[in-house]
Amino acid sequence: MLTLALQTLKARKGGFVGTFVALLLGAAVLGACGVLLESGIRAGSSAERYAAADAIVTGRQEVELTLKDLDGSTLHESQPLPERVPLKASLAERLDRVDGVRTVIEDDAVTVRLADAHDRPVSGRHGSALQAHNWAGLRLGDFRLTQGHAPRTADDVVLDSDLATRAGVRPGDQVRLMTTSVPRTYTVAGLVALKDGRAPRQSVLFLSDAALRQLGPAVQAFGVLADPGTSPGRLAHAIGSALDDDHLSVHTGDGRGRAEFLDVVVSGSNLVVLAVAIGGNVLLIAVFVLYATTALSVRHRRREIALLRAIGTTPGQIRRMLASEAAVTALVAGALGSPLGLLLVHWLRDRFAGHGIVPPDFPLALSPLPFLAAILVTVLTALAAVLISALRATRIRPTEALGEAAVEPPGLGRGRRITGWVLVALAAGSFSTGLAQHADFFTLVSLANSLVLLLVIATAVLGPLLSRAAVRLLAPLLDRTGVTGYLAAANTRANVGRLAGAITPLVLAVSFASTVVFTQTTALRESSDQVRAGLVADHVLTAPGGVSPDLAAKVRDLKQVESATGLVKSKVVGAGQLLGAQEAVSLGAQGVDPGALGTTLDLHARDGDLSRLSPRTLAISTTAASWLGLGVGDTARLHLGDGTPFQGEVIAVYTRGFGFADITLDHDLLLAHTTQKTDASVLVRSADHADGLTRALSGLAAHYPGTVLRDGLAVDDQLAEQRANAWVNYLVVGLIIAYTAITVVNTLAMATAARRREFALLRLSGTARRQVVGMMRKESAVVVLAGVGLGTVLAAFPLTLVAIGLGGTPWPAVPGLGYLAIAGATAVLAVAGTMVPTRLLLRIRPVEAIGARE
Amino acid sequence: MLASRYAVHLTDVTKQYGEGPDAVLALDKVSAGIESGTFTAVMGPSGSGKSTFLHCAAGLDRPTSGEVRLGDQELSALRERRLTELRRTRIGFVFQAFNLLPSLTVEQNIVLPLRLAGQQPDDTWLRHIVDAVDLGGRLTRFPAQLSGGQQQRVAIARALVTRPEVIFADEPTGALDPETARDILILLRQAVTDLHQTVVMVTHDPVAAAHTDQVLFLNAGRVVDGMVGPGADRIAEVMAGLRRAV
Repeated sequence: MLTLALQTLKARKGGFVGTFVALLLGAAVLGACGVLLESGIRAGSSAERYAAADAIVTGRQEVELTLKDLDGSTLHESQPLPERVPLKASLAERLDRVDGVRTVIEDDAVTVRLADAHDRPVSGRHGSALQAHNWAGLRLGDFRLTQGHAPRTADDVVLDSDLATRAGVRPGDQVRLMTTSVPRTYTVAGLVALKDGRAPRQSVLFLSDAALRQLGPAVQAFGVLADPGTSPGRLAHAIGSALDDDHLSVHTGDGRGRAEFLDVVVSGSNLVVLAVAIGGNVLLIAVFVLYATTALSVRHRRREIALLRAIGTTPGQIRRMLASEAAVTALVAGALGSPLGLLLVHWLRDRFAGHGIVPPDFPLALSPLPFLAAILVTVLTALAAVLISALRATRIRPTEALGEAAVEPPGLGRGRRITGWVLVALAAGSFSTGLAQHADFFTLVSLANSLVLLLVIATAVLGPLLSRAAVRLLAPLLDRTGVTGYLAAANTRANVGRLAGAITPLVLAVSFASTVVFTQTTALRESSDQVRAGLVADHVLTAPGGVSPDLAAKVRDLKQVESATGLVKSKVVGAGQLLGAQEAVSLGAQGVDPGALGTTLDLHARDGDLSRLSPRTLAISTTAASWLGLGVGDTARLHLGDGTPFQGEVIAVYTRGFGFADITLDHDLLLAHTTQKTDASVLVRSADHADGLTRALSGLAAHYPGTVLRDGLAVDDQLAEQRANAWVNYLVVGLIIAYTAITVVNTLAMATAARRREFALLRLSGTARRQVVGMMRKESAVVVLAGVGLGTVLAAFPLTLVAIGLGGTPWPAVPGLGYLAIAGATAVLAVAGTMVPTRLLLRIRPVEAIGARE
Repeated sequence: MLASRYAVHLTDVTKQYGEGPDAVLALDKVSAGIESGTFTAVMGPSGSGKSTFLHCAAGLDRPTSGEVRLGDQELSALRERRLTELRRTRIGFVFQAFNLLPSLTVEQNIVLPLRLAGQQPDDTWLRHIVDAVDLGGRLTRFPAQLSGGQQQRVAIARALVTRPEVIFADEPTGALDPETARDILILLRQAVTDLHQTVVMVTHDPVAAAHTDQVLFLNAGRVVDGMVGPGADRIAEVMAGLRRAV
């Protein structure tokens, strides 16, 4: 059977192009997702500051939640923590007593913002935040003093030479460092560099131990040097069993890099989630599309299969032949798709870095494994898709080989009609459920997605009915456009089934893309509306690297100011309720001074009283309320960004969670549990008599390098995460469109190619080439109008749900250009899929074409 | 039990399409026997049931009631898989057109039934039939490179390659010009006389039927007449009579 399959593939390349391209794209995307997955799992950079330690002890950077599953059993789920978990200094003594430990070195750190002598802010390499460490910790890593001397006095600082170059300073020059307040001036005592001379991944500063202590550092890690003869593995084991504390982790080897670079680990786990989501989506669409392309090629080979059956090919042999064809196509497509996937994954990495999803220098773990897996999955997908077509193929009766024309059974079977209307009823049901329920945004979005899927499948099932309706509407118009219009109208009337086959992929493309894209634009519109409406402060102070927390207090003391608060951002982790089961969720959190909350931010409480916010209470958004299953008066049990448990009473549920954060806590409480310990901005509400406030604020800001005064929150900054999220959704839509494009072009091109005899007949009976083109142009206009129109109508239902769920109005935000891009791209594909084959067919001499077999 | 003298034997075969008032009775209690080593034509006007007769006799379609025997084998007792294997090894087919797989060469098309059965072609036999149908120089060509008559020769060679008990031909000359048609009919005649094959051919052409040993006339699903060793003129007369009767 394999030889027969190979021969068929060789001879009938045209019929397999659609399947091949779909498989190629699938293999490329799956390979790329595989690389992202592996990179996410193995995320890590080789250690720099910790490279010389045999073992590193840090707090465990994840929190383990005990959750209830659907069946009532409990399970444990770990969620990564975004903020650095601090350690107790007393741990050093216990470590010292462990067998095999020679020396324990403490690594203390504090986040600083650096400015040069002219108060120009200097950011770390790749824009990362800078940390100052204790000089004693130098011994833990590969940094060596290359110029000058160690920091001796409380005013000395040592920079890595890459950072010094960017700041434009040399030993002896002065720099300014800012932590919680205004900057202090330090003298550059010396420069350090990595042993091998490359620039460090994260810029670093060292202060003398005494100088650092003044800045209120946190113990980040303990580095352990082993006794001679003790291997790192044994050392780690000894430390682990001696400490016996699951809030601590011991790292050796490559793990030391993960302990050092938290950003890589956090983005690695995000990447795993993204890769699985994108890959899963693509796999689902791939099966759909492949089913369509293989079904089409089987339908076009009906007579050939019937002949094979007549001369004694068993159904099993037909299935094996089709499976071999699919497997061979998939293998070739998979092999050719792999290099494409390699290009794609680099492009994706750059885009992810651009949207802040991964650090700019995030390394890809490249191994053949993801590509081999992608090829395997591609082959399996192709086989799964061909299985259904093969079942249909084996039902082809051998007598069909004897008939004059290969006709398909016309009309809509009863079963199909019933299925179609059941689907429509289901769709109507889920639409009205969505309208009736006060569900949160994400529930509504998933409801909207399943609704559009139901509608598209219903369209495919009821296709002939819908296209008959479309023909009834459009054919009279065509009739009025001369003889070519008359022919086109007659053709569409007579071939409702063919029209349905052409319309369905267009409906799929337009409705799916519109739903996903305009859900995002609607959400972004709602979010920015919320930011504008919710910010009642009239002045905002902000800085790219963060604002010193004492600035808010100083602003508050100005007599022209009614109230002011620092706005600090972080994340919290809690147990969410999703469809009856619990799941660990990470929610955005903001810290606001309770005294200034009402006058600077209007979060729009739906229930409760926001003024009761205190270090023991919290307010949550409607989304968070629905996810966590909490209401006013309930006790929330959460973990703050550094893993510290927090328990507090919910005092309010507010609606403006999209523009701001889902959890609102007391400012000082949240700030204490962040790594950076800075505010994102300071919100200022002026008093009634506020003469000279702007000048006063600018004056204050001048003391804090990098801090600028604005009259509102920058919406872009506020919604950066949502924008990144929207971008990922656009990416998925792009892939869906690419897939549907394959089906659109494949279906139309094959349908058109099958009409060569008809074209020949038309031309022999006196129809000019130009007139055939005109006829086909009008037919494709019907296809485009019906497909795009129906797709738009179908998308309106889920989008209405989303819009109501978001803002209460039934009108989604549909940017004209966005809609034009979706509808236009689909239309261009449909027209090209029809007109290019038409023109090619018209090049064949009609006399040859009419005599041609098949 | 004695070996049947018939290669194919139909007893009271009825074939009904559809149900209720729309039902069409394509064959109505047809009984007929085709003797081994004969060349038989099945004739009748359009809608007489001659194609259905062929489908049922060849195991391509199952009768609604009645019995079809191929040699000693009762076909209705067979499951689809066994029936397919039987078609592959014991029956040969020649259709009016679209006989060949376009992706296979002439030789590959000829030996396809053997390969489907997992057998090696017998080189002597293959060369013998290739010579008989006069395709020696074209074995590596593809069907699209052949004329209509040449394609039918390939189909006949494919039908012969398994040394079947019966070859069924459905309007094998329907798409050919008279001269080419004559060559094909001579070839089928040779298969019967030289290679001792049994051939059953459905046709509406009295000239084609004149090459056969016997003719069965069907009308409205029944066998209405039979002739042995007829001439084209007499066949045409009977056919004209049948048409008038309709």
